[in-house]
Amino acid sequence: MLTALNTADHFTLMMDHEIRKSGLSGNFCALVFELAGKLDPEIFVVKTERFLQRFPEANVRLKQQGRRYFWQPYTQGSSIFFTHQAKHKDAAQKIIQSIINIEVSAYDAAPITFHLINMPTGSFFLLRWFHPICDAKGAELITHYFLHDDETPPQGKNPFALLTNKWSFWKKLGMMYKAKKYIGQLDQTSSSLPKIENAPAEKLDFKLLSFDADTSKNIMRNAMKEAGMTGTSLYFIGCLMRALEKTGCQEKAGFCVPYAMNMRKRKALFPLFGNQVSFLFAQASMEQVRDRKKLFTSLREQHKTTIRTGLDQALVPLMWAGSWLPLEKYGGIIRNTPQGEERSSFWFSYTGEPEPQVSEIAGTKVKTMFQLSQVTSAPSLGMLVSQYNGEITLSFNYIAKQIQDEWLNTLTEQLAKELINTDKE
Amino acid sequence: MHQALKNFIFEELVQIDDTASFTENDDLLEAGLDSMGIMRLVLFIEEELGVSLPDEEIEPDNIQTLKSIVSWIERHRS
Repeated sequence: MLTALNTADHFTLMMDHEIRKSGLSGNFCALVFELAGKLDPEIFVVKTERFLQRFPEANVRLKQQGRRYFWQPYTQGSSIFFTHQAKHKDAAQKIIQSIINIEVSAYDAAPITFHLINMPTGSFFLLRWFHPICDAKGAELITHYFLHDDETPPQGKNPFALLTNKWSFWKKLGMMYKAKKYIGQLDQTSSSLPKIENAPAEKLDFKLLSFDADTSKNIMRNAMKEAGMTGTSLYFIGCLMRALEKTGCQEKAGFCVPYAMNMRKRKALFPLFGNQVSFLFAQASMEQVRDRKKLFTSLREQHKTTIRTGLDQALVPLMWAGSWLPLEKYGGIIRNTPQGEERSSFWFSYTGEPEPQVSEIAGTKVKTMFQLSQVTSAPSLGMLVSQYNGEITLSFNYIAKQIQDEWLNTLTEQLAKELINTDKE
Repeated sequence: MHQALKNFIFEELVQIDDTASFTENDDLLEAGLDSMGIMRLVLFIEEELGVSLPDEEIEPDNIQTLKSIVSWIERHRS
């Protein structure tokens, strides 16, 4: 039986097309847990079998029929659990990099795979997912149900469908118009980009920046003070805008940053598979970016206006309309301005603490957690923010050799100062 | 007002199994009220109840429970 991709799944499939067009492997993401000890792979062999029995929808492949895309059951019986050995942490990180840079066509890609990387004194447990199958919060749920095979998942209704089904055709049309007008306004400000070298995309690389519990608390306190209780994402986005401006970037009129908006009700009974996201934009002129207070006031106001005018949900019917377009055309419209320029200054995601919390994996303590995601060229840079036990980890995902290590190191140092707010004006 | 607020929160923002036993002192943030939900709640209060709430007062103490939200609204009723 075929299962149709929902509107948000189709959006991430379009991004897969765009990422491949950039010369990279496709829209693969990963949730990575660093563990305090080694693990016996045999435990996971059993868990994998049970997982696939309980969730056969995880063992599927993408199929195109006409303009639509579906998941079809994969009957050739493939393994979705892999073990790796690394002599030290640097070698383990190279393995993680190779897992996210897998070269496989969208139609042959296993949407979910689990990986254990054992080192002499610790290990990494990794869930890699092909983005059209689920979003980041779904990946956290999948990890939970993979590890706890005695728990029965809730049979919730699809909140994305519940929301869109209650809109009439005319309401959707009105929302689409509103969203299109909004994006047209965004395009009046051309986007600054990171400092990108004129080099072909080689592969996705990543750099991590972690903060201890006290510093993380301080950062969250600053976020609350400057961006408000509802603006944690905006705090990280604003600080990265300022760090880019100070480090030196391909400066244009301002910054434009797309970020995901989760349409799941938190702690709701929802399905594990399928994306439940729309997207929003944060935008600031260079003048605003150079004045910290002005920047956060403006981002807060923008966010409030977005919700007040219903622009967040208005983008959903636009995504629905896009799902009827060929991927190439849809990608061009979403990513580029009418002048053919890249619309996004960088990619951003903030998922907060994993839910449900994963404190141990097969009896071994989890030390930290981070995420990875392939990005397009340009903007060639993504920042994914995770929290684990209150400790913040920033994962910079960038395209080697388009982003240079030295520039990225300066950027992350500058960003740390902005987040902690030690670089006062 | 209390019932209208409760209906809006549980129909639009937070999903829990047993809304009847959710008291006015239970923790809404713990139950899953997230940042987008808080913004929607504040706009609902402004538009449906006609009470304008200052941005700088959007903080956990005012949002945590139904009781604290009602008390926050009462302080700003003209």
